[in-house]
Amino acid sequence: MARDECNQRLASAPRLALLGLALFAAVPGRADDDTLTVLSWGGAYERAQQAALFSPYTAATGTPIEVAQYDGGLEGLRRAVAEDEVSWDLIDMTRSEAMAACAEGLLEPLSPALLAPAPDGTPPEEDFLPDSFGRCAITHSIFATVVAYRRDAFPGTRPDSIEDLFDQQRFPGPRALQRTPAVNLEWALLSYRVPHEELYGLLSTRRGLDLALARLDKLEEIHWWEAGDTPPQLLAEGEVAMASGYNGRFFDAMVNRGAPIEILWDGQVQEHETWAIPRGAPHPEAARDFLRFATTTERLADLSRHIPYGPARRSAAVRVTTHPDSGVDMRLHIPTHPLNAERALAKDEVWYARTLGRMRDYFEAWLATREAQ
Amino acid sequence: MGQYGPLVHLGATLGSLGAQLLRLGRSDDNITIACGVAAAIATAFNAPLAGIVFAHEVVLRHYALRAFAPVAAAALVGYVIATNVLERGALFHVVDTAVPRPWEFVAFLAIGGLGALVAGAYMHAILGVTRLAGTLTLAPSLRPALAGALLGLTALWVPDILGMGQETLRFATIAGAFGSAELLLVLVLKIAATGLCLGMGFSGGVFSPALVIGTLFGALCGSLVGQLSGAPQETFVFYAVCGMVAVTSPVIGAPLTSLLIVFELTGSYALTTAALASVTLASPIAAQLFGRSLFDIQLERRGLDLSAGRGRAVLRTTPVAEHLTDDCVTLHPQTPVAEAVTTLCRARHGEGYLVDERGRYRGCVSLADLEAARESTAGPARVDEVATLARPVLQPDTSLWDAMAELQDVTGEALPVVDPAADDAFRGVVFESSIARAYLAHSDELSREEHGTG
Repeated sequence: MARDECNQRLASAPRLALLGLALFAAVPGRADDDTLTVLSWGGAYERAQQAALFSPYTAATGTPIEVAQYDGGLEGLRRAVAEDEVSWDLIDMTRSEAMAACAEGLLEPLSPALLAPAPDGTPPEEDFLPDSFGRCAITHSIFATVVAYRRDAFPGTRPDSIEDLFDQQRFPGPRALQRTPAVNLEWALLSYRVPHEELYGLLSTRRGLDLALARLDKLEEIHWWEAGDTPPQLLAEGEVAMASGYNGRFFDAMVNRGAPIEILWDGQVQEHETWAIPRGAPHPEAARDFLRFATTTERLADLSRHIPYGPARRSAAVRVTTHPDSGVDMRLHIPTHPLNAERALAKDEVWYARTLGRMRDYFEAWLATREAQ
Repeated sequence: MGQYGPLVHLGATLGSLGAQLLRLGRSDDNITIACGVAAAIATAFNAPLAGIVFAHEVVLRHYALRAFAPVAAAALVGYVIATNVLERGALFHVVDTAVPRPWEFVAFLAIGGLGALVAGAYMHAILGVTRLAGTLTLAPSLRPALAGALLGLTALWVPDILGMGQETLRFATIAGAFGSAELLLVLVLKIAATGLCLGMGFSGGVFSPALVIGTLFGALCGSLVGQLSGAPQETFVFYAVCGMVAVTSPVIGAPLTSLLIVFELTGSYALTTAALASVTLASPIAAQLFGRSLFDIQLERRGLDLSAGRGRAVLRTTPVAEHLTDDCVTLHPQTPVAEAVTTLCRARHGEGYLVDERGRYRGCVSLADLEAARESTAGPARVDEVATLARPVLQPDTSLWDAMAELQDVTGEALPVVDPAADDAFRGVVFESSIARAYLAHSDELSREEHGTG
């Protein structure tokens, strides 16, 4: 039964995608009155959404979808809401930004009641992963910040724990890390074998922060990256031996571009990616309809075939199959797969909402003294 | 300062209050107190088994089936509320750790022995400052203020000694979070600060500081062992936990409870086994050197000796005056011997008690001696000239236990009770047989309490 469904979907997905693309090409950039506008992240991610969500939706309902790109951040939304000129119907946001936007009143409240049940009738409340429903945002995928390394950098051995990121004796070579306190501080403290449950509590103390920064300080050569596609590039070019980055980008480099890199899943930091409807959206009802469609088990499982993010629904996670182009089994590449998630850390977004400013100050001050030396 | 002491006290108070509302007897009152204590521990640590064992180990001090069910039920309710309603995080967590190598158990044993000494230092710091505080000319209400000022000044320099010490405890279980010298400094200052504050009259428990002190001590041992052996510190948390148990268990006088807290908090059997090695040495050493627990030492200083179990303590606190009777013959010292003989014979008593006109007790004479005096012509004519019997006297507050001890050297029918506070006034007598009967009845009741099933 389940296999039949899969086969059917395998057969129909490319056709739907083609149809969607054809429809899309027919109305380039023209915003009809009933056109839905979605704000998303561009690149490989947008291509995956196009194939798994936007085109099938247009094919099913006839409503065209137009996509606008952004790189995160709330400034644009803040300005649009203030000037009452919101042009987007839906925004794909990280949960931490959605929480902040919701607190500022920039988003419409959303009820989990609008979500579809799983194919076997399981209600969404039981099917979605814990903490998927915010007041204004609904999680659709889980992405992860992970460490990746060059397969040829450490002959005869390979890193198997997050502690190895800081062990330049056993695993020599430069590192690339994101220029932000987030994730780096978590990993630094985890390398002391701090239990996950106590991590953010101890990071809130002066001693914990000092320990974390001291660990980072021990690293001899750090390339600081800011754009998400830098770390796979640095690894592929052999500039660094280990780098932090988003798991989707590393997958892209590995599978689509054949870069000789491997992901270290230990210590991966998971974050939620959500759908939200901005306040003053032109088509709030159609946006809700799309949200229901885009978070069905079938669509979420299909999205994970195109980009290795963990579906927020348990029923979707078990239906993930192979990458449409390469035939790679996608289940092994999504962060929420039990093998990968064994020692995963859930990013504490509430904690960051309270402390990010101060953490950034400490981090930048440390960075300044490090660079002065 | 600890939060658990006040919590346990509150639990015990509620238990006792419940017993009073239900008008229960002393024995049932003990069980309701134990229930309150068990529930408090189970709730505070998310550790129902530790709660049950603590109530038996420290409060009841015996294991009776009749107490088990209510205590277990109380602990269970506390646990369910703690996990479902309060959702407090656990005191500390451990990551999956390596299994210690065999030789490390020797180190854990040694930590036990040394931990007993640290526990002794901690207890004596508290007791010493308490004694010292009593001799200060400072008003009692100002003493905590003085301690607080000293504490605050020290904390400006070493803030880790402040508060419950939960963060300090957690960091101490992590290898590399403190240097050895830093551990030693915080350890010594924490002992000093806790002793100072509790001794000067802060309100709070001794348990949480003991946990922190023990963990610091264990961490110190762990980092020293690491430096000496050069081995990777994968088992560091074992040393910290062993130190924690080695210090805590002597302070609260509850080795099994300490072990179970470790077991229920961490769920790690390897860790509990290592802690067992430390407790094995820590408990007997501390008990020999200092006493069963800080609480027992404090109670003993107030006159309640629990070292031989609750039974002895109950006998020691039951006053013999409950069995006082005036069914005896009192004689004025000036009474002629013949008249005294007649009085005693009429009252069918073999002994008379001499009481003067001011009601003071003057001695005890036997009918046999009086009879002999009457027979002999040259003998004494008045009873105060007759030789009195060597007879110990009791006081109104003499305990049943002491009265029983006095009886060992006495053959006679009763012991007089004399009140030294009222100028040796004669209060009556307690019959030897009623002392023995009361002693037996109490022993019987205690044995029913300890071995009864219902």
